[in-house]
Amino acid sequence: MSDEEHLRAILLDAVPPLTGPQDWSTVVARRVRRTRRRVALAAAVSTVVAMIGSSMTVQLIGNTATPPHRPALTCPEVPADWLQTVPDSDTPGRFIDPSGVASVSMCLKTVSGPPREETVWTLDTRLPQMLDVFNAMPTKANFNEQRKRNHPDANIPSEWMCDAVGYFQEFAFAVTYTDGRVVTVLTDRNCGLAYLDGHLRVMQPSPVNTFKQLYLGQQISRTDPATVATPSCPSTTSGAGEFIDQISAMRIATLTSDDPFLPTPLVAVALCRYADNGTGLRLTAHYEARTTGDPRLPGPVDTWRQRINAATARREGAAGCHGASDLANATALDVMWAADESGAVSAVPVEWGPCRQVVARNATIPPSESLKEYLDQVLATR
Amino acid sequence: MDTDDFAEFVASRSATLLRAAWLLTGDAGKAEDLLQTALMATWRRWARVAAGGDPEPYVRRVLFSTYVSWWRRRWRAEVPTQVLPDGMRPDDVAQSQAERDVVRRALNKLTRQQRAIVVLRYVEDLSVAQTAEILQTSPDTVKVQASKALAKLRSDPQLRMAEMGAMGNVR
Repeated sequence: MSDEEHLRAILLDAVPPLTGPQDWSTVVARRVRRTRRRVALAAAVSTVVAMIGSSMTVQLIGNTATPPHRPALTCPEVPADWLQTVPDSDTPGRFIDPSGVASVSMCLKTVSGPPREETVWTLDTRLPQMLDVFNAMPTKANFNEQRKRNHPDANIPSEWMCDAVGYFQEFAFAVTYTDGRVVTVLTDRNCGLAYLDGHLRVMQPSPVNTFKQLYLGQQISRTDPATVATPSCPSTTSGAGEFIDQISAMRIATLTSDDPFLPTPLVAVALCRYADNGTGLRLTAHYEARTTGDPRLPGPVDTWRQRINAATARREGAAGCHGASDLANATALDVMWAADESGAVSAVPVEWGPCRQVVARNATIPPSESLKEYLDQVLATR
Repeated sequence: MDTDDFAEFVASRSATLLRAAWLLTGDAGKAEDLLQTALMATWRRWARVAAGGDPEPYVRRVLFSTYVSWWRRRWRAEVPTQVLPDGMRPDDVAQSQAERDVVRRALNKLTRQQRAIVVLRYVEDLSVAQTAEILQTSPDTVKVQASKALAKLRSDPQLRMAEMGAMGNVR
């Protein structure tokens, strides 16, 4: 066997069994249609932005970034008390039919409380991994048996226990098949359960977290960093209510741990300093930085990602001065903007006067002296 | 646009093209992304592509040129995602996975162009001229880069070990 034949054999042996969509042409057609809608939407957004002119929202330099988490379909209805209406017992068998799935959409639906923004994200690659996780979810009985095996001394209640956490919004999955069928997977974070067609399963492994990881991978692989715009500083700010956090959608949060505020490498950062000279908060200094190569390599942008993550890390018992995210009375304010490699943008306000606090994830955290020094270094000279 | 022809084409060729995409990217999800991107471009020009006869060279050109050009930076930045629960992979699968990782790591040491050349020349069995045409470069560049790529692969100690395991002999 020649060298070249050896190499061919090695390479071909290395290729795993690949299970792409069964109907490629349908998947491709759907993606073409979504791209067209996105282009049309981007054009409409550009027109609106041009009409509004300088507004309080973030202004972007250069190319318009691809909308990172854009609704693609209407979410199914999710009854607030669906868990009370489905049978408590489980039908044996696999949870979901993986044959012919064209896409999986995850919807954030409001189930109680005041109206809130609802979002849908669509995954049309990495589907076998997603469907494997759905089908790996155990029944309540199997989950309890496994827990007893792994923790024989633990006091595991015979009844299924739910956390006493009231969620205003829940996730639901719309699984679309290539023949046009759509099935809905309902989830309940409070009880950690998912339901589909007689199957009630424990969300361990978590389809929500898996979806977030796979979707983030999909978005990153579809986003050219060169097209991610650098945030720039609005000339004025009024304080609370305007600081977006698009990156939060793909953050994985559990009761025991949190992702860092910025879990993904950044393409660009902008630091904005505001002071109130009697006519409201006005921009007095700003700093922008952008990666020129691989966002994972060390550099000023990655350094600022680490600093922002340190500044926004939750600390037990620590809180800012207001105890709430109300910045309307601030007289000295810095805002740290970050655009990540998926194109999502988030902002972190840091109030220096009259109170001192970092506001992130609806929490307030005392800022460190080192954060002030770093910000002063780049902003005092500009 | 004849969508039936397009559907027939992708149904018959997607497995082969997906295999090439995996060898370029080393990841099933990224391979799907790459092939979808290539097929999207083909779909938009299907009438013209199909009118020219065999559409596969066009798809292949889009697949490889997309890989070599604008996917460069973003793929380098992507992280592995979901780790499936324990107990889902039997030992023989784990062994295959280990061998696959060796090949993937060895391919990762090549430049993007070298990797594309290796797949086109030694897996797809295309000539130097055909490879050069797809990658829009000169035949001399293909020859030089192919030679460098082979030298790198031959010098990879892990790949040599994997080969021993796979073939039972040492070259």
